[in-house]
Amino acid sequence: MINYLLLTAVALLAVALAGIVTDRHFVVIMLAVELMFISSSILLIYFFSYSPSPSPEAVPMIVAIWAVAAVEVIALITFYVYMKSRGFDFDVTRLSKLRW
Amino acid sequence: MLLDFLPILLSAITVVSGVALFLQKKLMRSVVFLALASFGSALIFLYLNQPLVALLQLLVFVGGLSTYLMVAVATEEKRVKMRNAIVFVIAGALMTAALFTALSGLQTAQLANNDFSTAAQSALSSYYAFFFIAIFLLFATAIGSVVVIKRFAKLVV
Repeated sequence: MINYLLLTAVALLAVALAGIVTDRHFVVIMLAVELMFISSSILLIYFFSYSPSPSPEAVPMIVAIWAVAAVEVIALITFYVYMKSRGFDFDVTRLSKLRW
Repeated sequence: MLLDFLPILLSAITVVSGVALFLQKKLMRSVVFLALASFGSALIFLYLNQPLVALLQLLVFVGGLSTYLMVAVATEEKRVKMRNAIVFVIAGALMTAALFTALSGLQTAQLANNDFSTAAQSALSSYYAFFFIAIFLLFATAIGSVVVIKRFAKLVV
């Protein structure tokens, strides 16, 4: 029997990876990374819930996922506001360098 | 009967939202679908008998990050450039098939009633330093982002 929750986590990771590979927009690529964090949190809690002897190390791991996701969003918005105010193109193929 | 279809429904909500994120032409809609995918993941946690994680997932991803992102991209009117939607769908399907094939050998176990809050209580005493580092990282990034935005973007924050 297919385990749908495992398939969900894997499909989300694959979709995010495909989005990063095929999309050129800076913000969309960062949103894809957010989707990867969601996928990894699903996978972590899935294995925690199904494990016969769950480890408490899952707690700092999921806190790490949340913390890095939050830091990524803050960094994304900082870059977004900076790039927009300077009139940069959001197409990542046209970004050769970031200057202050 | 309903419980049999619940994981399929929750999986469908989450994955369809994740795919729809990339097919939108406006950033605002993409962020809304990201919030919906986060909401779906919180429902999955609830299904796995982890209400604490579900609540925190809602607070962090839906209440915090998605709202923050929506406010940031609310003024964006430019359309998102997709390279090729068909290539995206094919690449996503191929990667899903490859990853799931790699994991398909896992033995299906019974859902154990593991309580996350019990694990959290024991982890709190063991990982104090880690939690402080995570809090400091978030605080430093938030302050740094405000400084950068005020200094270089000349916007009132």
